Amino acid sequence: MAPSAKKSSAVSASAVSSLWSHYVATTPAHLKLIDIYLVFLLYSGIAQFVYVLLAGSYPFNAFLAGFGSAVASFVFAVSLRMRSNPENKGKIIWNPQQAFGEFVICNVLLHFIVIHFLG
Amino acid sequence: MPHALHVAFVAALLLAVVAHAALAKSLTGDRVLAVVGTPTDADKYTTLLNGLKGRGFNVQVESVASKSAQLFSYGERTADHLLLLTTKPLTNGIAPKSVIHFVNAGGNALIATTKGLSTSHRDLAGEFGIDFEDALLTDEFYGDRNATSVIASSRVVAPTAIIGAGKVGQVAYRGIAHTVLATDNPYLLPVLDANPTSVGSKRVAGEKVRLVSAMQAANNARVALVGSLDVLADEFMAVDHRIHATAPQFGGASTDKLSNAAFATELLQWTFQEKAVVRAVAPMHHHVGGTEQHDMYRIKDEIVFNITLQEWTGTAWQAHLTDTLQFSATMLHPYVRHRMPLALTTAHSAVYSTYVHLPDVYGVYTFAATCNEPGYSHVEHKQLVSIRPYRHNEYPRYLPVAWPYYVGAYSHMAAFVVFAALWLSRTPVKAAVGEVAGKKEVARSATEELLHEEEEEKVAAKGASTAVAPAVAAVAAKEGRAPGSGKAKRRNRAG
Repeated sequence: MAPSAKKSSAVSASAVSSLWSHYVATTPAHLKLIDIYLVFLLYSGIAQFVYVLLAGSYPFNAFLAGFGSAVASFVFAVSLRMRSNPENKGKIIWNPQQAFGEFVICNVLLHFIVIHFLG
Repeated sequence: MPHALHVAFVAALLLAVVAHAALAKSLTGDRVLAVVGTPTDADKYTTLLNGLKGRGFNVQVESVASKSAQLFSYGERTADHLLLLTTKPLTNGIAPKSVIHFVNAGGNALIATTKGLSTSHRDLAGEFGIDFEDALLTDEFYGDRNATSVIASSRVVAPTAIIGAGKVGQVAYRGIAHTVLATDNPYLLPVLDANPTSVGSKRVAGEKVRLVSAMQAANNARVALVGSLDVLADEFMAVDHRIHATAPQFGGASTDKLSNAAFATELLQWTFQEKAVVRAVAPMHHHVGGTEQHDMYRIKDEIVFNITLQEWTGTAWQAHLTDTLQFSATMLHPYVRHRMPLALTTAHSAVYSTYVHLPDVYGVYTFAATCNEPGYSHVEHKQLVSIRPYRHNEYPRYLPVAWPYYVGAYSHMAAFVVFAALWLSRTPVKAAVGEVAGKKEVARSATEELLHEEEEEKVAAKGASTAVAPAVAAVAAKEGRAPGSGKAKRRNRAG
């Protein structure tokens, strides 16, 4: 048993590490930039959600604004990533400049709304 | 009202009252109706009645059976004060019902009676919660050895509003006692008690024996109930009258001067509203730091409530000092209730002020200032005030508990700006986009070729664009062509 457990853990460990090295090697820098942004938004959203579970939802509008800001920013960034990922060139309308412009407009609108809803 | 106008108004009011005081000392009028048993009985009370006349009262003496012993005429009071000095039945104009109506209409009364009182007297006293006995009190120790029914009492248990401290020593008394039917009546006040050695009837003896009671009614009319006619008579009020003490060496009554005259004067002054009358003037409330009185405040507002108390001492209005003035804000039950401390004293008034933090329940409240000191007039000022909830822009903002959400939202904005700056700095001009992208893709393909040749072949087999694009983009970069034109050409070629 021990050897197979060791082997499975070793397999999973090697699977994660090979995934990670493949990702580092094959992802373009601009997509990695988006991915860093996405990870930051993910952590921020998770932190706010854990906080509302612990501290209650008294200023509920503030929680919705903060959490919604994280989620919506995540969605916009994912959309930008999809639209500027070279692997998607033939599959979708692929226009990184237009995608970035839409990303900026959507984020400006989003933060305008978030500031007002934050209370 | 601006402050200067306010002060001028109060000053004018005081001036008017002070001018009126020169005419009569009582605040409720100067018409006294004195009712005696027979017309000749009035001679027994000359000291009393002359004293009243000397203080400016208009005294009308009638006998009980007389037709002109009337309290009302066409529905209005014809007298301001009533002095009952008889034991005969009260009929017609001074029947118990009329006397009660008179007190309800604001008239003051001093009801004196003694052994042999009529049932109408009992009815009248019963209305005030007093039950008269019918046996003359005797006292072996605190009595007169020459007259068994004369007792001396120095147990003045009245509040100082009725009988000032130290003014009354020993009072000679020949009459009956009474008991109080409802001991928790807040309007009844004790004035004179008998000594523990006094004996009346079988069930009334000792310390429960009360000789004189007073009542400050809810409408501030005053009634005094006295169980002896002699305590107000000339004989006991004579300056040189003495008690022949039964046993001075064993304690008991002393042979000192009697205080009947002082007692009668103090009691009548109180009963006829010549002293200890309190009024509240100039109630005012405003925001802390503001000056205007509003009729609507907001929840959790902070306001200041002021009221001025004045006390009538027979000649002028003076400051009334008390520590039982209470402020309350009530809506079905009191949300705020506390004492009002003294803020300012002038020669004629005492200003009380309190800071109130309004409750956080909105609605229509009653702001009330009440003062119920024993012996003094009841002071009650009430005013309806609305308290509104928060407007939509008055709620507390930027709560510390929501700090993570504020940090999160603003950090997302900052991250967006940083990300956009990095993204844009990565691709300075549109023309170079394809070149840089091409270079990166070339580097990628080179890496792929170096590491995963098989995967690349698979990818190339599956999707033509991924394999074609790098080579084509590299060609386009070398030739310096825009990538868009290259794309179109590729499409044309593929199509």
